[in-house]
Order: sequence, then C-alpha cells, then structure tokens
Amino acid sequence: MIENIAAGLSLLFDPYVLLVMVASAAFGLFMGALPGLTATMAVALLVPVTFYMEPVPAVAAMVTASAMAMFSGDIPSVLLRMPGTPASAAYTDDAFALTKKGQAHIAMGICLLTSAIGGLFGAVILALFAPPLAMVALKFSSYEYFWLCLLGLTTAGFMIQASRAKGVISLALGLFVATIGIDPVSGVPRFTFGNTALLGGLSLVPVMIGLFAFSEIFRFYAKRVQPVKLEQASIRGVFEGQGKILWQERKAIAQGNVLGTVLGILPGAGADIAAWISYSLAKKFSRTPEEYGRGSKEGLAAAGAANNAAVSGGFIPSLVFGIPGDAIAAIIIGVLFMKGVNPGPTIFLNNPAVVYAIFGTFFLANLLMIPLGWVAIRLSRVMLTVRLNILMPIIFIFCLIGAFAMENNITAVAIALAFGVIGVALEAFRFPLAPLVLGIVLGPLLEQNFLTSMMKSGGNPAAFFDRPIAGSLAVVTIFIWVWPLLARLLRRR
Amino acid sequence: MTDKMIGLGFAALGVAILVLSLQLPPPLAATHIAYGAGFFPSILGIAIAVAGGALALKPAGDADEVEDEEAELTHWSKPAIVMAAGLVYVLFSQQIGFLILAPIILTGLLLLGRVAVWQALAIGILGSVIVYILFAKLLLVPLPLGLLAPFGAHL
Repeated sequence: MIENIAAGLSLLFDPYVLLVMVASAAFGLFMGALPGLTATMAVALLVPVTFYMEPVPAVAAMVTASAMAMFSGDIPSVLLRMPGTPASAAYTDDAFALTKKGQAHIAMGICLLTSAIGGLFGAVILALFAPPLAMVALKFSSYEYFWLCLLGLTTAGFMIQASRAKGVISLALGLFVATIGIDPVSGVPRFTFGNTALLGGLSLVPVMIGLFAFSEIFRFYAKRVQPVKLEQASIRGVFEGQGKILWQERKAIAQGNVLGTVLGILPGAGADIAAWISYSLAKKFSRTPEEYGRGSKEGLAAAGAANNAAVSGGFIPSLVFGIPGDAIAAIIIGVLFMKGVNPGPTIFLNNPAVVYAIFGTFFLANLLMIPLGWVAIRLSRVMLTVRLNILMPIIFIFCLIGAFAMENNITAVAIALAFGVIGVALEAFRFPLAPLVLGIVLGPLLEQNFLTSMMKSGGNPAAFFDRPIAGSLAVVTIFIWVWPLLARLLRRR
Repeated sequence: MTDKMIGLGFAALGVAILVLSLQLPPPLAATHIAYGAGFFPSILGIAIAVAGGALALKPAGDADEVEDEEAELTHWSKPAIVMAAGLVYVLFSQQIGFLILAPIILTGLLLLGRVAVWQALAIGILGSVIVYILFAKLLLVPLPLGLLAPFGAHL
C-alpha cells in the first residue's frame, strides 16, 4: 500500500500535472465567478482539452476546476447578489447582506475557508472509506450491481425532487436516451431510425455539453443583460479575524462537512441540494434563526462547507462502484472510461497508483483553493466586469468543437444542440436535470446487470433477493418506492 | 404552457415509446430469457406515460408553476438565431471549413449580443484563429478545412 501511495504521489507531483492543476484552477475560478456559467459547464468544456492527456492530469484538471468553480460561485453572490453557480444560491442573501454592512471581506473569507475545509473533509472521507468499500464491492455480482444502480436511480428520481412525477419523467427520459443504439444483448438497433451515426448510442459528453453549456448560452440570449453594479469595490483583509469566526461556527462547519459528503455520495443529490439542505438544517437548529437571510455567518459556513464537501463525496460511488454521485462525477468517470481506466472496485487492483493520485488531487486542489481563491477575490472586480455578450459566443464555438472532438463526428454536435434545447425546455418547466444525467449514465449498467442476472438464474427473479447484500439493497430500494403510498395510508389513519 | 399540457405531452411520448418498443424483435432463444430488446424501453415508455398522466391529472394550484424569472424568457428570437448558427455549422462546416465558418458565426453572435461592429469583427477573426491553433494544432482535433483544403499544408 505504501508503495502505491508513493507511486500515486509521484504521478501527482509531476511538474506537468501541477501546471495543469494551476491552469485549470484559474479556469474554474473564472468560470464559477461568472453568473450563468456553472461548475458542471466548466468540467464539460474541459473534456476536449483533457482528451490527449494521461488519466491523472485529466482527472486532476477536472477535479481542480470543479472545486474552484464551486467556491468562486460565491464571489458574485457576495458582490452582486447573483449566485455564480446554482450551488451558491442557498446563501446568496446572507452573503450579500454582509456586503451591504461593509463586510464583503468577511463573507468572502468565510466562503473561501469553509469551501476549502468542506472539500478537504470530503477528501479525507474519500481516502479513508473508498479502499475498504472497494474491497467489499469486489465481492459484488451482477445482482448487487443491479440493485445498486436501481437504488441510485431511485434516490435521484424520488427522494430529492419537489415534484415526484417530474423527477420520474426526467429519470425515465435519461434511461430511454441510454437505450438508443445497438442493444448489447441481442444486437438489435433501437430507436436509431436508420441513422448509422446513432448505432453506437449517444455519447455522454455531447449530451452534457448540450444540457449544461448550450442550454446556458440559449438562456443567456433569451434574457435581457443586466449591467453589473458592484456594491463594495475593494476587498482587503479576507483572512482577518477568520480564525475566531471559524471557531465560533465550528458546529455549522462540521454539520456542512458531514451532510455535504453524505449527500454527495447519494446519486442525484449533488452540491446544489447539499448547500440548500445544510443551510435549512442549520437554520432549524440555530439559536439565531432570525439572522438567516440577513447576513448569517452560521448559514454561510454550513452551506459553504456542504457544497464543496459534496464534490469530494460525490466521487466515492464513482470510484468504488463506477456509479457517479452527480453530473460532474459522471463526466469525470466518462473520461476515465475513455482512457481505459475503468472506475469500479477493480481500479483499486489494476491502477492503485492512479487511485491514490486521484485522492491526492482532491487534497491538493482544496489546499490550492486558499491562495488561488484569495487571488481570485482580489481580482474579482476585473473578473466581474468581463462582458458575457463577448464571452458567450466564444464558449459557443468551444462547445461546437468540444462536442465534435470526442468522436470526430459532426452528428455529435447536432446531438449536443438538441440536448441544449431539451435542457432549456426541461429547466424552464422545473424538471430536474440530475436524474436525466444519471439515467443516461446508469441506464446501460442497469439493463446489462438485469439481463446478465436473469441469464445466470435461468429467468428466476427470486435470485435477485438470495444474496445478503443484494437482498438488503433490494429492501432499501423497494422501501423508498412504496414509502409515499405507506405514508399516505398512515396519514389517513 | 401549464404542467397539465406538458404532462399530456409526456404521456403521449410514453405511449409512442411503448408502441415502438413492442415492435422490436422478440428475445433470442440462445439467451434463455423472456426479455428482448424491447423489454427495458417498454417499461420506460410505461413509466413516462404514467408519470406524464399523473402530472396532467395533478390538481392545479399546488403544481410548481413557472416562476417569475422564467417569465422574462419571452425573447426567443435570439436563442433561435443561435440555434440556427449551430445547425449551419453542423450542415456546412465540412464543406466550408472551420476557419471560414467560425469567424462568421462568432462575429454574428457577437453582433447579436450588441457588441460594437469593429470589436465583433476583431474578436470574431482573432478568436477563431486562436481557437483553431489551440484545438487543431496543439490538441490535434481534426477541424474541417473545407474550402481551404488546397492550402491544408500551410494551415
């Protein structure tokens, strides 16, 4: 194990990898700081750039960019009352209220340091729990994987959404999209309508570029551009008095860390929801709930830590089971698959050095966040004056190339554009996108594991409940499915 | 458009998926299972149809209707132009080439965002060349040369 860690660290501390991390940190900070550009979009746009990299620098680039974008989404929240990324929306009012009191530097400091602490906490949990979990997962067969996929999809579609029907539609649409192409068992083309370019199925990256990048561009052109008005121009003394504040808010930070990591692990939840839940839970148990929305440092700390912890936590199911916790993790494991490094328990046997290098990436990225985030805060005035009407067309060209580059196929660009429209339409009518993405990623795994299990058992469905872990997963999954009905019955009594 | 209409639309989509799935070939005898290529998609068709129906039948009022922010999104002509620019790229980039089409699209979209003409032209041309160098030369993405193919050796 020690030699694997040493090999991983030598992969990570390669000057090229470090340079890639610093460059992607700058990219992530910039993308996150601009309202309308999300952490997911930053990661999706990095895919064509990482295409020719080795696995470690490619993952390092994406992990760093996503962690940085998650923090820098807080910058416009503090200065403009506009969340840079959806994950910052939960505490935007509090951040801006502090700015109005002339305390923008304090708000920035809390956001920066709690983001780093949250990310580091998630990284510790990832490094501690992923290897033993992988050892358990090595014993998994198609039955356990089937239930694990179904449990992931269930949490994505059922538990988190405001409207269950919309969650289920989004999820089923994602699963349907995954069935397009040749059926791996029978070799029959499905829903290709004679188009040979669709025989191989829809690749994840063009779909993600469509859902998260093209859709933002379309939305940008549909809105009237608001001129930027900075409330507090100069921000100095970001770290002033932060030791005392962090100590005072230690409970909120600890809660954000744990909740963020756990929600990150759950498929479908992700950083946005982690921030919202952590914020409302902190408010519920707060001694000063009246301060929430009016500049509560406690609320900022709880939610700021949670969204970054979720990014690290989201990587646990990706690495251990090959099942992503959120859209960002889905893109990263898609890239790892393309590079021949298959996430799942066997990665710990076949590529242990890569695994430890990935762990190291999470630690290093979150540590780098403190100095680089400070630079970003100092430069925030310049960053926020960047005109989106100039940037968006350039991003549009990047998206055209990004979608094309994965397969050198122009159909992929058409697919990305189509998913851009689908993304706009679904979001406009409040359909959640996370279940759609997880459906696309997990659909093939679910179907293949189901069919393999059925073939193994000679068509006997009882085999799905025979093994202890499979049986337990089945009980949990089925309980989530029937709980709404049970709850309604109990309420009537 | 209300949730009811969207629900009905999805219910119809679900039924269409179900019908198409049922037309897929039956399972192969060699697999010894009763599930063919259409089994999984047909379940999804049913799920979409049922969830769409539930959305359509949901009593109005508690439905999470489109909020204020989305109500501002009434100007769809500009996004339609952006989409058209993307389709032009899909249809003609192979014939015309990236280095000709990208500056036109980029400049056009900059003008659409009310950037000054000279600025749009400069960014459109320079931006496209920089993106071409970055992707085609450094990252070796085979961007189409199109009409400039005779000069391929110099580009």
